[in-house]
Order: sequence, then structure tokens, then C-alpha cells
Amino acid sequence: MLIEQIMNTTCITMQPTNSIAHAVELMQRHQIRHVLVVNARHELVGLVGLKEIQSASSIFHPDTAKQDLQYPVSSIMIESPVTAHPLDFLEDAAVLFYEYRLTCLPIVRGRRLVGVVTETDLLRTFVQLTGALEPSSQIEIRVENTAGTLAKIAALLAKTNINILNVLVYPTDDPYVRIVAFRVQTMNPIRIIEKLRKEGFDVLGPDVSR
Amino acid sequence: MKDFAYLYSPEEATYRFSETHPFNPIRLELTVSLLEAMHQLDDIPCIAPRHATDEELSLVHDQDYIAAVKAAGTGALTPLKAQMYGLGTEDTPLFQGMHSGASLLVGGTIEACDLVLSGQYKRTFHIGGGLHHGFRGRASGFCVYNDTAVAMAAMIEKYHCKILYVDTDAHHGDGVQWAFYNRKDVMTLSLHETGRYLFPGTGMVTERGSEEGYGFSWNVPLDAFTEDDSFLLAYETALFEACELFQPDLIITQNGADAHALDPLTHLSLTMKSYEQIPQIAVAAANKYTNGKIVALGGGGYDWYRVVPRAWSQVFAAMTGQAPFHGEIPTSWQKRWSGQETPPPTHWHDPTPLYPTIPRRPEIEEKNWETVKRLIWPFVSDERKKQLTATSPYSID
Repeated sequence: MLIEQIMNTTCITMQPTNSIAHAVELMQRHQIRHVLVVNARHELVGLVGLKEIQSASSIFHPDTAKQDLQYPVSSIMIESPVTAHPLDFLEDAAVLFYEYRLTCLPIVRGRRLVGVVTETDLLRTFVQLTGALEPSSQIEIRVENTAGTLAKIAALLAKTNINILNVLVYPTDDPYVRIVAFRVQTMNPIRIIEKLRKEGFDVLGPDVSR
Repeated sequence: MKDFAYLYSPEEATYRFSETHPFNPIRLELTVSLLEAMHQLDDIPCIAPRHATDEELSLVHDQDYIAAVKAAGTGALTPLKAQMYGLGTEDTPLFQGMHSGASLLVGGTIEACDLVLSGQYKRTFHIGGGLHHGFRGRASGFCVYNDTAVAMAAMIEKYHCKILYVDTDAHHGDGVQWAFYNRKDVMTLSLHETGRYLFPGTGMVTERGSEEGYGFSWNVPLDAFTEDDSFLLAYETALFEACELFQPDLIITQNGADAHALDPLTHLSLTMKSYEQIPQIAVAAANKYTNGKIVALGGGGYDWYRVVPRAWSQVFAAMTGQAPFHGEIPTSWQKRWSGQETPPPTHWHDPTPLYPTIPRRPEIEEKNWETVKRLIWPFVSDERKKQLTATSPYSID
């Protein structure tokens, strides 16, 4: 999956000469935690987040706080934020978030800002990847970690008229054992489960004792 | 105002996928014949459902979906296009007259609601209704049209009322929830088995509604092997707190009977004890909050002979203001339905023990109560929290 498939293309932006107060207002109005700073050519020149806003004024000096917010946002913004390209892989972007502890990743083509991905977008995408948002039943099968296992299961499922929405493979404590989780588009998975068990597959289900 | 009427006609059996499909209209016949054998239907008005109009259906469903369902019932829909609408699948296979059968169930539920809101009856029961998985433009989970969602939309348009929808089917009432997710005139409350293994996988506590509807979508996902006491505590608590918050004009209950321990599709462990109490508690809530106005619907339930007829007859008992039926089941009914794969039940209650003891019981009960607390805590006063905590058998704090 590419970044351009999940990024927001409508970005909330401001000019470096705009005030910090304007950044605060944008965050409140759009309920966001970051504002992207661009120049007249729509090139990314900075990023300002809640942390930068908070560092701009002190709770112990309320008399000057209002005044402080009139400084230009360029005085507090992160000047060269970590960015990514729209054709980067989602996995690479996830690693950037993880390694740099990011909360927001501007997406840049040339120098122009074309989109933004936040940690919320990333999490939503991962939830989508599990298939949990579409009506389905989950079937979990404990399998040996060898070639051809998935094909055997898929061949059995293909004989029914039931659509597979999603497949995830989880590791277990035992390196030779994996759990394959299928999300199938049916309310009645009984026939599939019986078929799998008949073929000797270890189909997991709710357990009364554990 | 008369007290009660039920909606049923043998024509509703035309909503039928196949001989072996779990959602079988024989369940309606089994229930009505049991009530007949109990001489319960002698003086009770029975109203035959009508078909919903296209205009009514389109209050919830997309035009192109309605057209596809019509085409599907005449064999004019290509398999690829059918798949797009969730039709012709293992769950909702095509059958002759699909639109006619499905729209009859919708019309029945609209009538059931209209009879109550127009003041002709206090309580109605549409046994064939409760198809809670139907989506705007897609069939899902044995449901083509969403009778309840259409009826609620029609009632709100006509009466500008607030409706509380209460769903005790073992599966999450997703179709109804999503249809009104951003609205404040419908509140949905669904109790169901968690989506860990069970269809449709949604129905988490965190699905609370959006925009104006925030706070008016309530979900209680219950652990597999949940038993009567834990279920009833969660149900009664959530139902009355929902009524307190929402102050509905009408309560609609979906009475799926598939959370029973004998049901083949799910993993909950209720017995008839729950199915005696669920409708009684709903009627009590209606008496307290809606001047008694309540509409009951059927729903899921896949042990056709042993569970569904008894469960739905107990809904009938509560809706007619009677105590739950008890003792022996009329032998004439038992005889009529003998010779099936599973013999018909002999008593209204289940034999004990119905299933082996569940070793995880304390853990399940505690977990379910924590779930109820997570759901309702943001909406109840500190005083009420103290009361609930004091009366709950599972609280540690």
C-alpha cells in the first residue's frame, strides 16, 4: 500500500509570518494537533504542533502570554520536519513514525506539500487491514509453519461459496507454529469449520476453561 | 386504546432462502402453532402485514439496491452484480420473489409501529421482523431489507418521535446501528457476543455514535459462554440507564433467540430463564418510560424446534401482560412437531443442567460487568454509580 492511498490531501496550512495565535485558532476550529507551514509557492517550510504551541507561553506569566502569541509562527515551528513521498510504502512511513516518534508526517513531492498522514490515519489503516470493519466471522486455525499450508486451507474455502475478506498470519511462542486468521463474509461459518476439522486442521474457538 | 395485537400471515413464509438455510420461516409457524395450542390467540387481534412501498424502503435503502433486489427475485441479476449487493451469497442466496417476501416483512414492522404510535394499540408484536443486519445498499447476515430501520425512519417522519431500539440477538445489530449512527432521534442498544469469533465482528463499547448521535449508540459485547444471571444484569442495567438518558417515546425490541446455549451458530450460554425475563423487563421499562408503548420483533434463532417457539411465545406472554408461561408444553403441539431431527421440548423451562459447568464463570461475569460500567459510566451521576456498585455482585472498587 502506498502513502498516497491513505494520506489526507486537504491540509490545514498557514504562512510563516502568521501569528502563533492563528495556529491555535486553526487547531481549535479544525480539531487537529498540527498545522503545516507553507510559503507562497505552497512549499513546505515548517510544522507546528501542540508541543511547540505549549512551549511558546508560560502558565506562570499570564500577563505576557497573550502578547507572546502574537509572534510569527516561524519563531517556534520545526523548520525541517521529517517528510515522506506519496509513492513511499505505508510500511516505511510506519517505521518513520516509530523511529522518530512522530505524530504527523507531511507528504511532499518536489518541495511542494501534497498531503499529510497523522498517527490516527496510520492506526485507522491498520484496523482496516485486519478487516474488522466489514461484517464477517473470524476463523482462526493453528498451523505448522511450512510451505503450502495456506494453499491447502484456501483450496478448501474455495469449494464453498464464501468470500474471504482478509487473512492475517500471527506468530506464536513456538517458532514452528503460526495462527492463520481468516475473516469470511458469512454469518454461518459452521460448514467451513466442520470441513477444516475433517481435514485435520486445528480450528480455534472460544474456550470454556481458558 | 386496545392493549395488544400481533402481526402475522402465512405469506411471510415467502421470505425463505432454501430448505437448509438457518433463517427458516418454519420458526414463525412453530411459534404461532404453539400459541394456538395454548389457546392464546382466541381473542387476540391478528393483523396481516402489508408490503412496504418503494418510497418507504428508500427512506433507508438506495434506489439501485432496491432495483437489484427486484431483479434478483426474477433471475435477471448477473452473478457479478449480485455479489456487489451481497446477494447470491451463501448467507443471502437468490430466491424467487425476493423483493416481495422481503418487503412484506418491512411492511409488517411499519404497521406494528404505526398501530402503536397512532394510539390504536399499546403493544404490538411482529414475529417476522427484526432483520437487523440489512444495510443501506447491501444484503448481509440473512437480511435483505432492514425492516426495523425503515420502520423507524418512517415513524420519525410521521410522528417526530424518539425511538429506543433494544437488540438482544446474539449478533451485533449493526445494520440498525449504522443507519442511525449520527442521529439523536434514535438510540440503539445492542447486547451481543463479542466479535472475537462471531459475525459481524463489530459492536464494541467504543462505537458510541457520531456527530449529533454521539452517545446514542450503546453496545454491550459479552464474552463467549455468558450465562443467564450475567446477561440479565447487563441487560436490565443498560436498558434502564438508556431510558433515563434518552427518555424515548417508543421502545422497539429485537428478540433474536440465538444467545441460547443450544443455538448452533453462537457461543453464549443463556437458557429459557433469560427468554422469560427479557421481554418482561422490556415491558416494565415501557410502562415506566413510554406510557407502555412498545413494539416487539423477532430476529435470529437457529434452533428452530427447541428454542425459538418457546422464546417468542414468552415475548407474547409479556406483551399480553401475562407472567411467563410455565409447566408443560401442550402435548398436541409436541405431537404435531415430533419426528424432527431434534424432538420438541416438553416443558417451558430447560432441563437442568442444560450444559456442563463453565470453569471461567467468575471471570466472565466480572468482565461483562466491567464492560457495562465502561459503557454507562460517562452518562450516570456519581450517586447512581455508587448505587450500582453497591448492588452489583461483581464490583471490587
